[in-house]
Amino acid sequence: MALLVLSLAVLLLSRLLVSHDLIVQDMEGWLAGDPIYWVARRPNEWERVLGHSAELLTVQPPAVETGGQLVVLEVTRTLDPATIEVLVDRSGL
Amino acid sequence: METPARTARGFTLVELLVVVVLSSGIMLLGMWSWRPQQHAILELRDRTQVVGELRLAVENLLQDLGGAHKLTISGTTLHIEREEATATLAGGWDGSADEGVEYWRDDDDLWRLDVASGRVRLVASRLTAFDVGKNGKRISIDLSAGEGDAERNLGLRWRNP
Repeated sequence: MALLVLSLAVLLLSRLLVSHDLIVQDMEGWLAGDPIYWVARRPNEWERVLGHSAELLTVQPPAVETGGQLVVLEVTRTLDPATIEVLVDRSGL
Repeated sequence: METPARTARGFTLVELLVVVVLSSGIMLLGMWSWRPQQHAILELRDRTQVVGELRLAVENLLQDLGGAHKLTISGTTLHIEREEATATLAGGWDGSADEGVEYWRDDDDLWRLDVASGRVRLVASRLTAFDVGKNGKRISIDLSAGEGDAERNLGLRWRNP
């Protein structure tokens, strides 16, 4: 009986470790083979202003022509509820 | 003359000794089979921590690079200059330029400084390398974490306008 319980425990533990290993491999997938990523800004200026993260690309993105920039004229923030209003000038774009 | 019948209650000494020996054998077998599993668990823990720290570093960098305009390098420090609108919202625009954000590594820790506010915070730990380089308009950021089998490396490339 004890041997049976022990065998079952070892079997379950092995399955648990295999599952854990698979999860870690999935998590490490983006790091497989010491990768090199290109970082690209979001093409949409609003996304950039609102704090969206840059994107990771596996190939070099095309060069971005930099024209004028979005100009923030006025910022109004409230804490409760949390809102932000931004008055911008897009004429330079 | 009759002797009283012996009642069969309890175990004999020999039976108990056999049980003890068998139990000890099973326990030794269990411990012996557990040792490699324990090593695997420790290795997995190291790998998970390394990946997690690299992920933290990359996610923080991506967050700042999302609104970045230009990257410059000063020694081993990476300076991120943001676009005017992003910098204005973050409180870093001084009227003519963004004071920016800086990243550097110190004692295996990656730090971030918001120059305008002077706030410094720890981004990630256990980083064995944070190498920044410039080649023309191209900026390279190479990150490493962990040691031995758990070592992981990652390169980020950025092109300045």
